[in-house]
Amino acid sequence: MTFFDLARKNAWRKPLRTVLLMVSIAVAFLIYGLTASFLNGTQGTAGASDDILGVTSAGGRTQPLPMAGMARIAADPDVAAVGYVTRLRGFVDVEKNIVAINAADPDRLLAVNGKGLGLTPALVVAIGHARDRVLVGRALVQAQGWGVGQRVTVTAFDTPREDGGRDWSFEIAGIFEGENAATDTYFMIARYDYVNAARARAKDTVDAFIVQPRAGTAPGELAARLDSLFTNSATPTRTQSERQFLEAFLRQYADVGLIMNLVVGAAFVTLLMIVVNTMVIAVRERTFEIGVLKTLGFSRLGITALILGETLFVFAVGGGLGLALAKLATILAGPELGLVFSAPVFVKGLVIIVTVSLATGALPAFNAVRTPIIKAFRTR
Amino acid sequence: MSTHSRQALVMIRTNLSSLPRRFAISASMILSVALVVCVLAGFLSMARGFETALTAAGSPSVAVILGGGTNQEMGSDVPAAVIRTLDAMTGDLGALRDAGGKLILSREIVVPVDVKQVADGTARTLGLHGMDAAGPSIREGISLSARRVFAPGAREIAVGDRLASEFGLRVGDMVRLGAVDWTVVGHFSARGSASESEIWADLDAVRAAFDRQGQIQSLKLRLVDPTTLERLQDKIATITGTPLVALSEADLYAAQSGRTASLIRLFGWPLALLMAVGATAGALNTMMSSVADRTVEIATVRALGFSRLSAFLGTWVEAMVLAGAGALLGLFASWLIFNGWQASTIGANNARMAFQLAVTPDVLLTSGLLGVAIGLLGGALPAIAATRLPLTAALRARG
Repeated sequence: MTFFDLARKNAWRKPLRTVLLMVSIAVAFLIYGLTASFLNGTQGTAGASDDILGVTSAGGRTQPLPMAGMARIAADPDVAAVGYVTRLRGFVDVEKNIVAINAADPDRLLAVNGKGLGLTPALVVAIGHARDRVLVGRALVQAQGWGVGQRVTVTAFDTPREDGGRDWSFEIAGIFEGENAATDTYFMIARYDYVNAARARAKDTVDAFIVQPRAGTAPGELAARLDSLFTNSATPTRTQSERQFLEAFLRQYADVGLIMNLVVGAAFVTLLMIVVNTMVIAVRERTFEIGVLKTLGFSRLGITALILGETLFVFAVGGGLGLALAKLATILAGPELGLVFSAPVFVKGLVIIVTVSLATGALPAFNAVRTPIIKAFRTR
Repeated sequence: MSTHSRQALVMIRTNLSSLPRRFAISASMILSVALVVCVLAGFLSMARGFETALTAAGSPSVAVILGGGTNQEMGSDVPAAVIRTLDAMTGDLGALRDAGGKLILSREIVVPVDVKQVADGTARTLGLHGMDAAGPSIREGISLSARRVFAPGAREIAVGDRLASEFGLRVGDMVRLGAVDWTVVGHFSARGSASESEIWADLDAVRAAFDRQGQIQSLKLRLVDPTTLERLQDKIATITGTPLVALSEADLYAAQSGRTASLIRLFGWPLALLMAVGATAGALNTMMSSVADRTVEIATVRALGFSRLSAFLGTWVEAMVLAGAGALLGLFASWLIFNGWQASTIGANNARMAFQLAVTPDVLLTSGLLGVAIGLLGGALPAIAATRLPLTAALRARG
């Protein structure tokens, strides 16, 4: 019988108990996997870039900036490319079905953030054929069931047209995929010239300029320099990286990160207490056998390894199951939730499995090693 | 008293008095149940607090008129012609009129603006409400806690008490909203409701500062009493050209709170249930170790003629006592921690809305029941195992 067989046989000594332990471990890792995928997904900031800067009005992200600011930004020698966006929020068919439209100059957007959004020159050509064409993100297309060539009508919340209506009609010219799974693609890109010409208010203004710094430039310094350009203008600006902006924005909804950490923490504390106690009892039950092993000449190290091996086995099966279920859930969940179970999340899960199992096995192993043989034999 | 119940009582007593022998694992069960209860209570009280803040903000005797076929303030647009028509209507509208017979109404507009927080310098989006001079008096439950509200046409603002304390806005302070400076001239309290997260200013000043000339998002009217809303709705239906909706403030806010509150619950319940599954597995383990610990005793009393039922009840009640203790501990902890916790989120009009977590009796009841259910389920299986112990186990007793 090999060493590992011994540990496995020990683990299955009381099958029901072991299965129950595995279930509670699986649940804790399922919770971990789901929350980590949520933070890592499109609802979090994992897909946002640190290198791309957004220039918005210091008065709030909804306050417009005059188009004239672009020339001053572009004049900075450290700016590689600059684009602009104006945002429309509206709904399709029912008020709950909210969609966001970013109206931009497609060529400039391709230069600034084409890689991050997964824009290709072919898509830019496609949107260029008519002024009312749009590119739609993969997640939004899937959620709404749209197809290329279809016409969609978005009723804007806050952007009336010059003719008094709020319905904006677009033709879908193509679908952009995003750089990776964590990129938010739940929006569409329209042509700024079309939106700007037809809207009733705030003509020739933008909501944000997007700036790509020249390679080797510190984004933080450039941001401060751009803001200083507009300090004494009618519209002071605030420049942040895409990630900073998104983090600040999301934190206003709720401190999601804090809540998630608390919940995962509570789940793991519960789990640890249960498993440590059960393992202590399981090892105490076989004090006699451990006495036998010691008599047979098993070293302290050997006995420690045996018990740690047993907890590791229980944790590996339970934790693996939990992570697998989490992965399954991220596949089954809809694109609106945007869960992404990436490799780093998985690796971190594995590290937690190993660390926690060693920590859990330490106390029972210590107890077992310390028990003198004579005392062990007296238990029967 | 029948033999059964006497036997059961004895078994329950011995079970409970043997608890100190299994202190560590019993305590871990209590704590795990308490943590599950805490998590559920946290989410439920958040949802409840959000609802409470919005429900308190809306009054059934204030009517809101929205235009453009929408049920939200955001995206609503009331043309000026509609207001002239309303003013010209002579019949009974169901809304209050002033001494001169003129309709008391306030034209309103909301602009989201960013304000820097004093503590950490982060900007928060707040709702700047532009309104007519009648606006503050139309709203119900508002009391001025410092000085006055804004003067017509001036760039002056009144801020809710909660905002004032969080953002350090004292009377006389200057605040930059958008591109211009505003003077804080007053504070108002709204019984802790969502309105205290608002900034109020004069309609024309807001429209001028944010380039919204001529725009009106909604109209607010004071109803004679809540039942006259129907009369107002009937009258409004006669105005053609623009689709108009009249609804009470209470209904408007209830519709807004419903989605966010259910979203929080939708998030909290699965998490709490998942944790409950884990805790149930833990409870099963704890109780199985209890049965294993007392194998000899149980088999002995069974050999003495105690019924299976008494063996079952002894273990089951122990499980419920432990779970009950955990639930109580969890409820007490969550009441201590969560009740009154300040939270905020983005509410209607894309503006920040502060609220307090509310640990109400129904929140306590629901989460407490979940805790007890863990003991109920986790205790039943080991209790059945206890009834099936072979009597020969008693013979294996060691001295």
